[in-house]
Amino acid sequence: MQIDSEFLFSEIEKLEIEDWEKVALKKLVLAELSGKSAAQMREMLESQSGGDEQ
Amino acid sequence: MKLTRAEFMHFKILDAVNIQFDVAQTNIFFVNGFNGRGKTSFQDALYWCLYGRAPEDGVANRHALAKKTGGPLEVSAIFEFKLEDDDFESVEIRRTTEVTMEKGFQRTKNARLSILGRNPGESSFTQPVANEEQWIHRRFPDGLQQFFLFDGESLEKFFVNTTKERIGTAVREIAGVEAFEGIETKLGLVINEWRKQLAKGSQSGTAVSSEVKRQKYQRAAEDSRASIAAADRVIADLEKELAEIDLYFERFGNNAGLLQEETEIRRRISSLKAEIQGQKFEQHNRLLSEGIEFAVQRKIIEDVVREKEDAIRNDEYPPQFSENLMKKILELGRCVCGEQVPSGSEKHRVLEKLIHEHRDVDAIGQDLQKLSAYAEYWPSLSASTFHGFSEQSKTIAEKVGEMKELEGKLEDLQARLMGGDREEQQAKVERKKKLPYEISSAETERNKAVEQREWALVEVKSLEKSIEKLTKSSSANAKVSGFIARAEALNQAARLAHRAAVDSVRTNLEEAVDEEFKVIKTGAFKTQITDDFEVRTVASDGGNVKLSSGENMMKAYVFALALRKVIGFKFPLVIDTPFGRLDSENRKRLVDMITRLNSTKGTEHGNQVIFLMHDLEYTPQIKETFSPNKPVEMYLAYQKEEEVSQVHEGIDPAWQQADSWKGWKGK
Repeated sequence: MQIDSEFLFSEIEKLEIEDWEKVALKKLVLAELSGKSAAQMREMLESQSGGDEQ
Repeated sequence: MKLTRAEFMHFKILDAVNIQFDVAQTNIFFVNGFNGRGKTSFQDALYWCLYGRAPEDGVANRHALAKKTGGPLEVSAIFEFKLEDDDFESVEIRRTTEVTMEKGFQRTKNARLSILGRNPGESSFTQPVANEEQWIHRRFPDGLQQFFLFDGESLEKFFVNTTKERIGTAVREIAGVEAFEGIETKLGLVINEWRKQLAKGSQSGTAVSSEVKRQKYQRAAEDSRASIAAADRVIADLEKELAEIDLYFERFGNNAGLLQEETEIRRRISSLKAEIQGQKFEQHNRLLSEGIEFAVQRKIIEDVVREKEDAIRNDEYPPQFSENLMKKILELGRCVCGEQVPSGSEKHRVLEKLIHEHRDVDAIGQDLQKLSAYAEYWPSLSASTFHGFSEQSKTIAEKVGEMKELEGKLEDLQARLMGGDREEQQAKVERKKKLPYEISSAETERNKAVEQREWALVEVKSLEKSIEKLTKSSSANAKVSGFIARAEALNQAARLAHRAAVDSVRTNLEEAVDEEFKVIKTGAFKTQITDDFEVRTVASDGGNVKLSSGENMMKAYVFALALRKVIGFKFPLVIDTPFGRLDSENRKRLVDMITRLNSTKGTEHGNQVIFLMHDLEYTPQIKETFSPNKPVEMYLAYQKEEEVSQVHEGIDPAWQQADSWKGWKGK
């Protein structure tokens, strides 16, 4: 079934979490929907570290 | 998405059939036919084409398969869909297979699925779709199939077949939790990798061994989670079985109660029989031990004396005693003079010889004379023995009376019990008694697994803290620790989002069900989808609202349609025997509901509905009610010689001979 990323983003927006978490989680959603592996996700998290918090 | 064409070759009863659905004209299509004309074959073909699941009785037309020589029979089903906002304007989904008959069963090989696309302006389907199974799964999710492809005859069982687990799967699928779950799993793997790196980087043997331990507990927690899920499945299956039994008895009226009563009566009769038999045995022993054999012998003596007197009277002395009388004496197992003559003994043999060959009745008569002396003792036999005997006889008579009364009651009960398989019904009564214990035992197993998981997670947390202390020192480790902290925060956020998405879909579904169900049922109630996905109708105090059988069936339709609404799902609603066991009032409501489903946005955007109906269902009244929707009517006409059905437009002329259509003038 085609997962609607807009719906998932809107659910993330409603959460009471920090902004950097919202941004990073949305990026992870896109990575997951495009079929990225755990290793690719690790790379992504390591390279992004710190960037989303600003 | 609309179904525009269905084509079958040698598929069950549908052979060389091509059905066009003109979706520019209407969204409502009826494929009608007497029972056994291929309505179910149509649904079977759709299941088979989309999911590759063949019906139990095979895919091939039996007549064509029997006639086929020199190789297998090719069977195919093609469904053409007009798409909306998709890769192509239309697609043609085709499944084919080769069938041979082996040992009475249809064997298939070389099954193939192909999907070809067509764009606007193109006249034929030429563009192949890659990953066909995946393409189908994304557009016709198997987990949602029961909400668009079902049998109205089993509407009563809708919330039994469509278990809480399946509703949960559907809700989770709609909520897209697959994405969040994927993130959670992958983040878990990444965090584990970082932790390993951290332990190794610390150069501390304790940190490394703690990490090994931590991972062991992590695995134990995962194993327990699998055990919890397995126990949940067992509990769901058992609850489903229990609900099915309840439904079964609901359908058969109060048979469960009657069967229970019947069992109790049978038990009482059987116990009375045993009591009567026991008392008779006791009575018999008592009488034997106290001399009743004399009474029996006396009866024989009386017969002997009577026969002797008759002989004297007729001047036939010595009398020729009847063979029957002699046999009686022998059967007593005692000598006529009180001596034991066991069957098969020498004396027994001699006596038999006397009777049968020599008929020395005079000698026997003398013995009998001696025996008659015992009869003199008869009156002196204990009066109390016979008082006790008659008292016991009275008790036996009472018990026999009670037994007869119960046997009469049993007959009445059996007359009241409905038909069906009595053994099956009895087995269900017994099963129903056992199920609560099995559910409770599965729940205990589940609780045990939950405890084990919690315990393992506590260990994991504690080890994480100690590893953190041991690995804090280097700056490289501080960086990795930072990654872990961020990833854990994101993992927690993914879990929250996961939960929020499910809750959101659940709330949307509750509202959508309520909106439609309020049209059908009046009163203060609301729909509640519980955490474990039970669809409840509750009153303001939270208690369950009792729904009639008709309301329950309508709730099934309402739920299936609400799900479409929430998900924006546009697969045609293909229902075999859609009116099932609905009464006339609910039939009207269903027509209204289907009308509402299509009237809001016009033919272009509405939901396509394909109803497969028989003559008792699609009556002139239903036809009249549906007429404002301008449905396209088709019928399946059977050709006996070829064992196939063909499709024609309109109403089957043969229906006018059927009771339900008599008097209809073909308006």
